[in-house]
Amino acid sequence: MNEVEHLAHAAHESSLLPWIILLPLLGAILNGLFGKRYSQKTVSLIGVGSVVTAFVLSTLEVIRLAGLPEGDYLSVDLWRWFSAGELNVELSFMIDRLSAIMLMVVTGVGSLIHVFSTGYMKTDEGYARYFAYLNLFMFSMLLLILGKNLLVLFVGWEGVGLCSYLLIGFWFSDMEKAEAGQKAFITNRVGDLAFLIGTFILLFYSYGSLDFVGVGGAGGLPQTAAYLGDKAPGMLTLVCILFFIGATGKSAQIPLYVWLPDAMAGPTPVSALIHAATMVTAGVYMMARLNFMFALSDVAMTVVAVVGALTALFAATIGLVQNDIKKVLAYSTVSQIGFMVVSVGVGGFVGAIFHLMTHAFFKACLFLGSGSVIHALHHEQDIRKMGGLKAKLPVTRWTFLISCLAIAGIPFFAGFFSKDEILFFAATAHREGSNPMLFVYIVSVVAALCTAFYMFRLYFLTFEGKYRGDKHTWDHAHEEPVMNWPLIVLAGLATVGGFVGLPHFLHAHALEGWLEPIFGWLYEGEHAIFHVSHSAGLEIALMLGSVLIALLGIAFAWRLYMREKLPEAPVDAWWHKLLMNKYYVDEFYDAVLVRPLRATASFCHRVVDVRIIDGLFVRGSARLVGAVGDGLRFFQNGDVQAYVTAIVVGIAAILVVVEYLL
Amino acid sequence: MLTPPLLAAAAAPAAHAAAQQPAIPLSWYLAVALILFAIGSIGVLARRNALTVLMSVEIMLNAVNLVFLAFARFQADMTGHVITFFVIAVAAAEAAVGLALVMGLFRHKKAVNLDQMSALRS
Amino acid sequence: MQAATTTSDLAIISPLFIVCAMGLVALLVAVFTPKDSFKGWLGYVVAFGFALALVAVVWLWKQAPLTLSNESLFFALSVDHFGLGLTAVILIGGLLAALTAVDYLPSQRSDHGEYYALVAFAVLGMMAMVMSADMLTFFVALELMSISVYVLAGFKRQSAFSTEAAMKYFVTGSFASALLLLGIAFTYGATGSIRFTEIAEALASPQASLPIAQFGVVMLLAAFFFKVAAAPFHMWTPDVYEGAPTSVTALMATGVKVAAFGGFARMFLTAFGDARFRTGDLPWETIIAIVAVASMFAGNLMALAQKNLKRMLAYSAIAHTGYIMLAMLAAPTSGDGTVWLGPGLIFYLLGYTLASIAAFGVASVVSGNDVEDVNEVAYAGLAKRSPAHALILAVAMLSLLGIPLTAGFIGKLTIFAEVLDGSHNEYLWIVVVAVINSIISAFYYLRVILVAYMRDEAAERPIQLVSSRSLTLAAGLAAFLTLVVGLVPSRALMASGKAGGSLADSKARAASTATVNDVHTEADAPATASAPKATKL
Repeated sequence: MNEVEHLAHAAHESSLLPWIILLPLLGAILNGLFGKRYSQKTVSLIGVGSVVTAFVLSTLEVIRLAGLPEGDYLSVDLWRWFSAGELNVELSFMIDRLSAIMLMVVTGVGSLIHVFSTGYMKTDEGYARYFAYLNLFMFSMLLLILGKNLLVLFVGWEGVGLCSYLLIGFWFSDMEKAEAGQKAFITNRVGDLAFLIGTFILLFYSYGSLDFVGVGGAGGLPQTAAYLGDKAPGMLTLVCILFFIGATGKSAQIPLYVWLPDAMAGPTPVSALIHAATMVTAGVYMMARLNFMFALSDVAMTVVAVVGALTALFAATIGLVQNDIKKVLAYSTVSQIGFMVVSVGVGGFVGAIFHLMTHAFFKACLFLGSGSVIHALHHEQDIRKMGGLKAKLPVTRWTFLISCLAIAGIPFFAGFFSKDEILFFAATAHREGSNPMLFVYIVSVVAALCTAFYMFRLYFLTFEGKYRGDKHTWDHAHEEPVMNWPLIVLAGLATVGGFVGLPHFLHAHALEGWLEPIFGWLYEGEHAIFHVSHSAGLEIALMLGSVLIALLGIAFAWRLYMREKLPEAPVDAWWHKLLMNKYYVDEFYDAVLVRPLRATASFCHRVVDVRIIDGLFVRGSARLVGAVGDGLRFFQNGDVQAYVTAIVVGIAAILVVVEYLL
Repeated sequence: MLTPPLLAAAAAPAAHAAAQQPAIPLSWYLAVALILFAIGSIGVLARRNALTVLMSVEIMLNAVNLVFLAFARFQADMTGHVITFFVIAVAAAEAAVGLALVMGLFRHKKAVNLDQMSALRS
Repeated sequence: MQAATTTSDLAIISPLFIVCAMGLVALLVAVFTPKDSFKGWLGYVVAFGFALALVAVVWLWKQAPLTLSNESLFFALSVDHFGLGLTAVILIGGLLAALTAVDYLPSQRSDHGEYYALVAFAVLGMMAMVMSADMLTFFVALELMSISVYVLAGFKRQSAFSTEAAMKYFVTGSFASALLLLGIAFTYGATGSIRFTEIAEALASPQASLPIAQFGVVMLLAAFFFKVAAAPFHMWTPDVYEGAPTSVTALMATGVKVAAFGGFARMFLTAFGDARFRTGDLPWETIIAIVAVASMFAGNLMALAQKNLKRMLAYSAIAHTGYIMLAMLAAPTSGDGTVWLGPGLIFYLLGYTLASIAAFGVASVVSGNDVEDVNEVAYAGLAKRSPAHALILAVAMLSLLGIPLTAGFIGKLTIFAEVLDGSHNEYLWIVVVAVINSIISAFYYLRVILVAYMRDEAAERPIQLVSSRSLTLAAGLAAFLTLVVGLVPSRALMASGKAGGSLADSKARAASTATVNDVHTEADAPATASAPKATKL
């Protein structure tokens, strides 16, 4: 199997690895079962301690990984989970250079958000329960990123989904109000269905294992992908599309993005952790993990790129007019993940992971900043009632501003480097004999313009100008010291985090070098699939262009919102209505999907059961039988007898089938 | 075919009897039994009185007994006869439990009609 | 034959004896103890009996397949891996179900000692059913189980619901018994025998009267569908599950279902297992495929609309019947017409038993204050009131749904893989249907978790939890085992495979014993072969 030899690397046993995963689980169990008996301090100690310890252990392991020969990975096989014929599935985990980055981001940002939560949730009565869920989420997320095979990844995939529903609905005591959780639930189900079918197909073609790495280059999914690419490219494309549909569910892409904005109903640190930094990027991570499969399917990659670009633009335009501070950030998240998906689609896996990382920094910082604002203003989320908060919340303001600069793509903040890498790839990367997808590039650039505008609209309306809310709230607004530290750290990362991925013409792209063993074969060597321009001039030109775009967006926002009197929103304009109503997508889904589904359920209940079974079969056939048997009396129908009648009808049906149909 | 000695010994005279041509063919027995079975089923389906339903079930079981006996007789095999005794015993146990349940029903509803039980439904 | 000489008959049927003796003891004690005294300790006694029987089963497992030297016993019971494996599952279910009743019954004002005697007799019937080798034993065992369960379902005498449930179960159940008997009678008529192996031989011969056998098989199928609650023979299930005391429902969902699947699987695969009959003249396999699909849809779609936990679990049981029936489709036939089962059926039944006990255990806990209606109010916000019970409930739901790391996932995966492999992808469509159905089922299973974790209990009607150590222990143990079997399934899978594979031997073994030729059949050979093979094109 020549095609997969480049993926053959040695494994090294790691004894710390299981503990990284188990610690958060332990925390969840302790806080979940006995949390009520513990003091708040103990709960915090368990909840935060387990994650911080996991972070420390992760750091040790990643340092060890860095010392290993290039491309080798750490792994641990706990035991054989199950085997069916030739298929062996081990309960095994690995840290390779790709999962190492995710590991650092998840445990690092996760630790900070846990610390932040101790302040944010201080007065909440469900304090222990909250930390139990949060730890359980960390456990699932670690399963997802460290899983060595597709099924372990799927365990985490389902687990993070479940925790996400629990946390979205954390403050809802009424199921009817928890529509948000339900929406997240239904859309993710659709994605999971696709994921499962894809897994089944792979199971079908598998060479005895579903591991992401083959032993000595043979076996595992890489070989399956190579086989499919060779023998059944149509099937490969189908599988890729199925997994991509799974990714659109988890990573909130068109058409399954609708749940993410509604998921903002949960506590803000949760939004920062799950719906910005970690879980929603799982789809991107999964596609990067399966790069050996996606890269082989031209059609699937094109679909991925186009959907990503459209999502980026679509969500950014909705973000232009939203007035809820968290909703703006939510649409911004959808849009930014769209950029990552674009990157995957055009073959820029490094860029996708790079942006995933920087986005985790600045978006977590933005969310936590918004949490700080919401906390200070007693759960006010409408930016029209804010303004001038820089006087009251200085730390929040500065960190927020830094993150806004980062997301807008101002040099030399983190987002600048990662976004430019994506745009550079979109503009120049192409397969042998085809052209770069310029359409994708243009759409992405427009999305970047919108991003700069709405982020600074948000910033100006919140922190600059004059306060527009009521006085009482203003007097009591203050920052919580324990909540400041995570903000500062994250803002620092959002400032310098981009330097690991300097532009290509400098030949100092540390991240690319780090990920070389995983993605390098896509661009170099005899099996190279993607070709990128090496022109320094072109890269600099594109970079300047995107800086100009960002400045243009900021200038617009400045012009409109840095004034005494805010501009009247053009509420009657058709485009404003369209955007305010989020393109009526929710209404569309409600009419096309949700209502028919509900109607089917109640139809089954009312019509099929009551009318057809009870009315037609039971009464009708019982009457028939009664007429034959008794002839004179009207049949008196009781429920049990209805059931017996169903049995008789069933037997008659079987006899008919046996005698006449087979 | 292997038969335990006990049954084999018992089956010997039956084999002898079957050697003589029976006056009534097998299908007649089966027809009567199936008609009885159908009557019993219709009773279970259509009668509202729980006691009548119980009796209908008994009719069905007896119809099956007839089938067993007919087959046993025509195959000169004792197994069918033996089964019949088991069926009679089980039917008695079933009837005892059934009557107890009817008593319970009567205590709650002051009636023994099956169509008065519809508190449990979807 | 070697095994038969070393182990006496009494030892071979010791599990049955132990359970029977415990039932008699419980019955006598119940009669002679004062009316108002606490009877829960009898639950521990019976549970201990089940545990003892389980030990005996494990001991016998190592020597199986065993041959009884008494001739009438030899033809009545086959103590092979299949029977012993399913007996073990039944005993585990019965043990845990008996423990759930200890404090639950007093809370329902129905603490009578006869309960435990009836449980023991029902379990005895189940055990005999999965070991039975002829139609007569099968029928008597089934009736022993059914009649005991009729009484148990109506055990809460002062409740109109319980009485109604028992009456409904009785009427439909006795009707189904009559159908079963009719089926046995016609098979007997067509083949002249009631022994499974001899029926198979007789059907293979050209003189067999196939039309008569066909009618008999249809009746047997109807009885089978009724007992396992497959659509459209399922309609009694929701009412009976809802109305019966919850500890009885737990037994019905686990033991009765396992026994029915085990007993009927043995009957169909041994007596009618020949490929000629399965899809040709006696097309029970095709019928089962259709009914399986109907059950999955009927169960899952109806479960969506349910608010009552017990009723929802009843519909979910119907859906699971559909999944389990797929395992019977998967049973492949070897060249000489012997059939062996993969590990799927038995493993799935084990996982389902554990998850059901956990779920019904929590349902018993939340039905304190003599509440019958276990609706969402009863377990809303359970996570705040009792985190441990909420966790157990969550594990049970996840396993029923088939989320990885639980037994339910491995079970589903094994069955689906078997079906694909065994049918050479002929039944691919049915696997797709099953996967779609398990996605549908996510809606109602996860809703239970969401209600338990997210919703506050209704303030106007706080429901007191039944505080019981035995109940929590049983449900907790079941949930724990669900996870253990999900995490380390290899031993259970191997044992299930061995048990399923041993079905193929029964025919050969009967032949070898009849001719008194010492033909030793290798028990392990089909077991290893039975594992689904390469899932590759």
